[in-house]
Amino acid sequence: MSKKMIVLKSSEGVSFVVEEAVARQSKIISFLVEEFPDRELPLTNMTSEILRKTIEYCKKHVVEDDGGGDSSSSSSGDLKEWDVKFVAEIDQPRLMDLLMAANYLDIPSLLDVTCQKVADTIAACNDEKEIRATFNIENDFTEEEVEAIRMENQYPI
Amino acid sequence: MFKFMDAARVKPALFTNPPSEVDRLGSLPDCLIFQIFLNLPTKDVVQTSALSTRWTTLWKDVHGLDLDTEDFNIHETFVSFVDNFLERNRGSSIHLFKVAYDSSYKPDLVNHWVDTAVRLKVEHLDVLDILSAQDIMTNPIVYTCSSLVPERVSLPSLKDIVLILVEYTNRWALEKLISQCPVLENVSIDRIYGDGMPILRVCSQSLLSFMHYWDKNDDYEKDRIVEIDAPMLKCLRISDGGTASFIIKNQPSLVEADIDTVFSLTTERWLRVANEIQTRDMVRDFHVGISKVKDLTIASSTLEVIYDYARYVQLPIFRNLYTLCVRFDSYMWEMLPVFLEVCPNLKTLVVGTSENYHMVDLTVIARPWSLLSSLEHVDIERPLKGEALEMALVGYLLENSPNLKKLSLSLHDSLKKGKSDHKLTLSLDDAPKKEESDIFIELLNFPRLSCSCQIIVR
Repeated sequence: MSKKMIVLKSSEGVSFVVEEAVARQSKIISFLVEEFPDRELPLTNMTSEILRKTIEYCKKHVVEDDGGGDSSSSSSGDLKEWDVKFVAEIDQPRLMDLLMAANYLDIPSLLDVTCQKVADTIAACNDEKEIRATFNIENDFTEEEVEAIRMENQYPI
Repeated sequence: MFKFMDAARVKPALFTNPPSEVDRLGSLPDCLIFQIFLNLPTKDVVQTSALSTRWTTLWKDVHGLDLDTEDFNIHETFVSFVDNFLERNRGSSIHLFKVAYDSSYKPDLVNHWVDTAVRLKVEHLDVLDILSAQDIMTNPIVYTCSSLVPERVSLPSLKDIVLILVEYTNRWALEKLISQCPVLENVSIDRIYGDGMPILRVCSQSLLSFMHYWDKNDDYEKDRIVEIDAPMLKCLRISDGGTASFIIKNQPSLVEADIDTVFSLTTERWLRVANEIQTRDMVRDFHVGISKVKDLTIASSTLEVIYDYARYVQLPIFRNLYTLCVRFDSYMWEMLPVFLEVCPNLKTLVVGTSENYHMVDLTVIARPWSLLSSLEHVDIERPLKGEALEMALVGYLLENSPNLKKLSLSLHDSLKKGKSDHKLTLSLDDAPKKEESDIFIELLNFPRLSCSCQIIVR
């Protein structure tokens, strides 16, 4: 029983051979596979590193979904744990790339996981100074302006 | 070669600058920043407004609110914050409306918020009174909200679900609702045809009681499936004319079950379908699923299916079954002994009636039955008319129960003195018409295997 394979190509031109079911978790690829069967799909704005990560995620999720109704409920907890570990191991710039990739390829679950991780990082900061430092955000406000914004926005304490 | 050319032509969009010096978060498109905001409590979202000019007003455009009254010192600030959010989103649809409040807020106010959120086609609604843990499911508008996404409805304290003649616009909605109520105990569903739910999977670790009713008089769409995976289940009631397949997983330790279904097999189909392995397996697996039950009430029509299939499949042993009540809607006694043979510990048998039983003429085939050695009490609720089939059942029970202590029965009014005219019209037998005394004599003449058995005529 041979599974249908498709070829994805990264921005560096590196080809990745992936099972169709794995790649089809991306709605965009799913669409492209139907429109252009048996063709290499160039993903020109994804680096090999990010494409490899994305495929790793899709592989994990397609295996777990395969069992149908029976196994999904028992393994969904494990899958969540795996997701948490998956994004925890990625540094911040690559996490952003992965988030963009998930958005570009339209993989809702991966987008959720990556957005959640960024949100958790923001929530872990004590104040806006720490957020700025964590994400390299340049402060173009004066102290007074910051204070004015706080007042205006009915800041929850 | 081509690969090399492609690589040269396409400039990698990412990693063009050293990652550590770039504001990657701020350079995300707004729609992705909103996506991130939807995963943050609103107080953290608002905090971003002071980051830089890029962020000043972004937080106002998120179609989601996740607010806790404990984050506010002033009651009115909380209220106006929620009001402003709803006002800002007027005309658009909102993704999340999550508010934790306490009892100091008037229910009217909260209901107004929920109404507004539902009108704004909220997808995820989570409104919780942090002190009393009451949830908003008391507001009926929630049930008619078409935009709510079921997998995110969170009802941490819901114990009972009763649904009467509901149509489901999303076929998975109920299944998801059930599986997401961590303390759910009772589910009772009265279904209608065309309710949009061909398969119902009841999957719950906490469920104690499940009742499934489906009117028997309708007869199309007889291919529905109900799957029950509830290891804690104690009480199961099925009265069903529309489900072809009941699947019971994990063999719950049922205390009580009331089963009335023929698995959508009509009389004509029984003989044909009986050859289908799939149906056989389903019928067998269903009985394996309920075989731990202690107290079982079963319709004679269900027993007929068992009787039919007992020829092809091995019935499980109902080891825990102490009390069995069979509701007969006909005179077909013959399938009873077949079932009694798999109830080695049965103490009490009640021969009941269904409300509208019809007469079916069937001869009881004489064959040697195994002894009903555990049976101690039999109660025949349906008044006897002295017909041959009834008397054959009484005879069978007396002749095969070595430890029977008490058999209770009553006689039909038509047999009593002064009502002999009535008797003539009601009796179906060709045998000479009997009187009360004839029945007594017949009862006394049955050989009894148990020497201490009392027969009580009520």
